[in-house]
Amino acid sequence: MPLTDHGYKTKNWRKFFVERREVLQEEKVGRIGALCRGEWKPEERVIELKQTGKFFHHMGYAEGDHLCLYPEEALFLMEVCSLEVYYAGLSLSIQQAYSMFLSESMTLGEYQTYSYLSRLGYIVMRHSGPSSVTAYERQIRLDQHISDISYSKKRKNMDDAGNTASKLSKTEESLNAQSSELCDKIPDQTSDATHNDIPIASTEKTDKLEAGTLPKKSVQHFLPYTMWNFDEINFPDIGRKDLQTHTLQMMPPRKNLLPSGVKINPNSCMVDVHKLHSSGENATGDNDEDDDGDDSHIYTTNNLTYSLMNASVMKAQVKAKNWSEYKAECRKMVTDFRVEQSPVGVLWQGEVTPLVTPDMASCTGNLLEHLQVIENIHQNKKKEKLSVVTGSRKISFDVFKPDSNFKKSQPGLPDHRICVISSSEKPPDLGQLIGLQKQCSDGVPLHWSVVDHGDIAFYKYCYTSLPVDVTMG
Amino acid sequence: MAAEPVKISLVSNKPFIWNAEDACIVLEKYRIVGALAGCLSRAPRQNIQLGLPLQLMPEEAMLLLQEGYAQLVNSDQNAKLPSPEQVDRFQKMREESFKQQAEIGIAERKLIVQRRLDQIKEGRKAKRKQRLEKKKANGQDVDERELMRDEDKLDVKDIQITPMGQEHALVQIFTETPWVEEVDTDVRWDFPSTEEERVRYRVFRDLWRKGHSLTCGGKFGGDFLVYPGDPSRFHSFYIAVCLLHHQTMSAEKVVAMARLGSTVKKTVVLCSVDDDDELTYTSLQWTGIS
Repeated sequence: MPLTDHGYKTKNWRKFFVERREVLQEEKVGRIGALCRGEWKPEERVIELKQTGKFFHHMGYAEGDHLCLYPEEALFLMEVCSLEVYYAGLSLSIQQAYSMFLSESMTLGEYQTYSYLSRLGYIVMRHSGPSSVTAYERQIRLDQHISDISYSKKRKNMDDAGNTASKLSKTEESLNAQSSELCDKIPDQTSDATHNDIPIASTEKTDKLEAGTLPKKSVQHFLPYTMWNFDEINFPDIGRKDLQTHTLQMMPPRKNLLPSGVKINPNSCMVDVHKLHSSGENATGDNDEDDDGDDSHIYTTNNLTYSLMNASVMKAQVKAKNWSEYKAECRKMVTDFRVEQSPVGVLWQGEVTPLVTPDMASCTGNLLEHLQVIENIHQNKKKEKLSVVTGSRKISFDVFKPDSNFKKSQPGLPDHRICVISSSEKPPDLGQLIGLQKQCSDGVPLHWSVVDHGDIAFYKYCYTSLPVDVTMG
Repeated sequence: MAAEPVKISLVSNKPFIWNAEDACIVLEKYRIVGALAGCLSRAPRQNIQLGLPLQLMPEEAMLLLQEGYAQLVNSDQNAKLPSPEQVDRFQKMREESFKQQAEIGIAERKLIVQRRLDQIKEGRKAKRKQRLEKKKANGQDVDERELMRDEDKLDVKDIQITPMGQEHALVQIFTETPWVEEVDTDVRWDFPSTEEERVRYRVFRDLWRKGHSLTCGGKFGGDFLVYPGDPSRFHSFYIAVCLLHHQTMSAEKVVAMARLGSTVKKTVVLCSVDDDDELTYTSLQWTGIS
């Protein structure tokens, strides 16, 4: 097919072509004095620098006494003519650098996204895992006081494979070290001298509850006083049959934990196990005999019966061998009640039952909530109950807005996170999206960079929930 | 007269053109659009106009190869350790370049000195006068004749010019590797490998032969965007969606494509290869109910 002009030979076209040719043919030239020099290290897949440049403010890292750059950073700096990379004495061309520096861990699509954003001025860093600082810690500005060591270790330990597992454990270790220091500082809580030495027969140990000291090995990333050693805490066993005729001596509360001026009656530390077990059966009977209609007994705290007067609300005793049987029995009781008492009892028989009952109609909003059979996955606070199989997806970059106060050692929370995907790949499924949401649940938007043969477009999934329209009630 | 085929090399199994001349030929003569993917030398920090390398769609590269306009070049040597000969050539080139730059630098300095010779003479005279005045003030003997000495004999040759330091030398970061000894065309490329890729390529080639320009259509939910001419001068007319002939589509998908097409004022064309190995095109038009 002849390639005829199609009007290309008009003056404007020619001018446009000449201009484009001129612009594309310009080569990258720089003064040696202005160019930094780096050395490509193929085993570690990094570029070693002898001296730094302005770019070191937001690129590169220090490893021992070496200054290093990641491949994508070095390649970008070569393209903007700020850096020369040598390999075996030869200054690499951009073509050579593309072939050598790009690999599985930094693909062409990822590099193109990196350079696109860097050209615009953003500070783009490799994704460093979910933020180890919680939202609360950020609110109380604790992140500014955590030592820099844990952050810079983070960057260094992020090898080319983007493996952040070892890095996270190091951050944990440093936090562990700090928390164990705190442990040592809390004074040992010794027992009261007046503590009654009668051992509690039902248990073997007579250890005292000590909130201050903790086994140091079990501290993870909690603060020490939230960690209870249940081996050392005693719960009196009031279920044992042989004790049901006796009274149990409970430990009196520690004086330093009580408000000032409160005295403890030693008798109140005695628990009448027999009474506990029998009170359930004869409660109403006993009380009725005693008080002749005086209902004040119901409001005392010694009585375990409910303070409601309506006898129909009294729960019938359910006997069961284990929890699941108990729950099944309770459900059966409810169904039986509905079948017998409700005018539409026939609806409650069978497998398909109504979603709501009249007692749920406290307000329209409440009723609508009960009718909502399909839960909104993103509003579900208890995400562990989800049966969606969560997938995983690599988050490539953390993006920060251009800022002269940016510190590599303490970058803070990124402004954006980027996942890179090719246009020929399938879009992420719900499992992957949920998995990613769990990973970055700190409010940083996640963008998807779709690379289509050199063309880059950014997309984002917005999670919205439709408002509930309550017009009445 | 057949022109020298342009060189395409693969990076991460994707076709790239590194040479500026080749890229311009492909863009101007062969109606290939491609996508520039590098930083522009004169304005690196912007995304409006990018520079070399030129990334081609696999269909574009395949077309150029089949039509004989291009050749696929082995790029393995770009990832290899540089040979001592290459290092030697590189160093010689740098030295040569520095020498030339130094000579040019000196020549330029001389020109400047020549132009400013009068000023230099004046300046020297003034300085000498100042020195003599100081000597007089200190009470030393003064040789008045020194002042009268004819300055006109001062020539450019007499003025010392410091040679250019190494750090001021201009060096080039090459886009395309210049140390290639020989062009190796023994490359295997496995495009097209799947049925979808084959259909895409057939459609691309057919539309190109009909005189259109095509670019990637990812932003419009299709395979290609079809332009009547150069994309920088026209809006595209068609969104080409390549399908397998017996692929089923739900009504929702058809409606989605048609709606998209009508919103962006382009016609969606469904392209496939039928059982007789012929290309068929079906366009969607949104009529609505009026």
